Amino acid sequence: MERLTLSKLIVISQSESRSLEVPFGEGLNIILGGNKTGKSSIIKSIFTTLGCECKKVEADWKKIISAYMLFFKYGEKKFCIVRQGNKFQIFEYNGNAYFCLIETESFHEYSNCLMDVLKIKMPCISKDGKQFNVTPPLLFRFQYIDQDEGWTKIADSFSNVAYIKDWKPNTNKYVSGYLDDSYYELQAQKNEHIIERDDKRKELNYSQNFVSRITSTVSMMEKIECVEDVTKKLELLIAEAEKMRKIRFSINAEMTVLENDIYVNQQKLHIVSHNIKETQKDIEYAMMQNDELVCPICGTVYSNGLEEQLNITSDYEHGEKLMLELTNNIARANERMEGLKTEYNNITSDIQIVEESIQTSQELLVYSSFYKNKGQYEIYESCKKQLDVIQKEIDAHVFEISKIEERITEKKSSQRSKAIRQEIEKFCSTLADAINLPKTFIKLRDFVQIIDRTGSETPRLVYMYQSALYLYNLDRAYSPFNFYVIDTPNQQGQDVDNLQSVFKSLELLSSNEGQVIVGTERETGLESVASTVISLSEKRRCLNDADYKEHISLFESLQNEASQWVFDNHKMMKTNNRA
Amino acid sequence: MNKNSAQLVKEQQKYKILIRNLRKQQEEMNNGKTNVKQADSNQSK
Repeated sequence: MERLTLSKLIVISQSESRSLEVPFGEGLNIILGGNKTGKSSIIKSIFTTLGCECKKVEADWKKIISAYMLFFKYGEKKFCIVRQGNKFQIFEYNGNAYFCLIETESFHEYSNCLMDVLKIKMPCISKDGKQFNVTPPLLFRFQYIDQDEGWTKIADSFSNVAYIKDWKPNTNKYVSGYLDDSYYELQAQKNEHIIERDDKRKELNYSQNFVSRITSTVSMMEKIECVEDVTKKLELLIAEAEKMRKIRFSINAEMTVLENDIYVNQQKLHIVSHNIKETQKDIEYAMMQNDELVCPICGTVYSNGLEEQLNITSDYEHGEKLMLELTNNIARANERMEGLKTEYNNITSDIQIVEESIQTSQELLVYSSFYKNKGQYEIYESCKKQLDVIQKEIDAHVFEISKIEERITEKKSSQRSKAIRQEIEKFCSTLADAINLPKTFIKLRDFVQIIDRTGSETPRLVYMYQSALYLYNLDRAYSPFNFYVIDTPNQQGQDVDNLQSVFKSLELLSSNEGQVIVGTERETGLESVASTVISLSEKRRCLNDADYKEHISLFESLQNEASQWVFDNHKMMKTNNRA
Repeated sequence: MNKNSAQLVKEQQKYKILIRNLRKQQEEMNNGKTNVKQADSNQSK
């Protein structure tokens, strides 16, 4: 980061054809003027140009000023911000002229461009989830004490901050250097590694799926010496399947015949069984009759002796033998049937196995020609090798993430937090001495002074802390925090002694390493050592026409440059869209 | 089989048929009596 030094502010009223140029030098700058002379409006204009919306701006001032131009140096480079209503332009000086970096009515577009100029990256999230870089009102909020509420609340002069999530704690930590650019850089690196790790994990997952899907087939393929072997095997398998199907057919035929036999034998058995019962009755009947029987039709006399009755009984015995034989036949047929059924099932499952082998062989032939002929096999092989490479890349990302996390943890350590707090407290202590505040009042939370006092102690605590933070940052490094603007309070009813001690303490802030702009009604006593003193005497007439022509000419030349930029930018976007 | 044996078997067959027929006849008669008895008993009720 570089030192940010304000060079000059020009405000233009085109409606009144008047303007004002306020130059700023290094060290102390004093804007001296009574009530309603415009000093606070000038001071607020600095921040308005930067995009910080001050809570109270004179309505007249807002109405007549059509353009604000703030010139500043950042390191060795010179820049200019022009603001007209909601339109922002940033220009950079190239040694001969200003060239436009951006013209936009989008505050965040402007803000992001300014942060690029300042090389600041502090990601912020709005309460509705939008992401953007830190904005000027967040960045500069500790560098202004406004004349209204600025003396009762710390760093709360701008209205366009509340939509940003955790705006207070995050900027407190950033401005104090606790969670600075390097912290956000580490976070960004960590996020990049996480994104890349997740991408690689997806790639690995995809490759693993691809490889595992094909591995089983390919491992079988590797066993094949040549396609002809598979073809021959396939032909044998088809022949075997055909033979087995024929056997199954003959088994099926035998089963049908057997089924028929069983049915016939069962019918016979039924008939014989019926006959036996009838014969049994005949025997019983014959035994009950006389020795001779006469046919009622032809009158023939039949002997009904023991011999005849035994003859019927032998029929009964024959029937029983027949029944036994038939039962045995059926049992044997059933037994054979069971055997055939088993044979049938076995051969069916054998056929199924052979058919599966046929299918596998056919698939092998298809895969074989697919992979070997279309180069897919090579893809599979390279994919398999790639798995190790991807895994190593993932491991590398995981290792990097853990290393970054270690560094983040180190940055966020309580030891470091304590050291920073003590350093700020040291500067607070110096300021407290200068403005007669007890050091016991110094209490920091989140690196910011707690305002828990009333009366005249409140403004002094605010002044002590913001001035101490300015000195702390000045001591720490060159940064955009190296300018500081104090607008002394509306001084009616102010404690004169306190004000005098505040003025006296300004000596502490007057180093030419930084830049302090003080707006005051009364002389501070440091006017002789100040780099610039601007005195305003006329009420509501701080604008004049002395340099208006020069200012409007500068403004118009900047506008021409901006128009050219808009034209070129539009053309470029069109070309990009076509491409 | 000589003529007498054939004659004998024929006679035996005829005897068996006669026994079967007479038995059936009696069974029918018995069934008829039973039916008449049942009809009578139904009427008396």
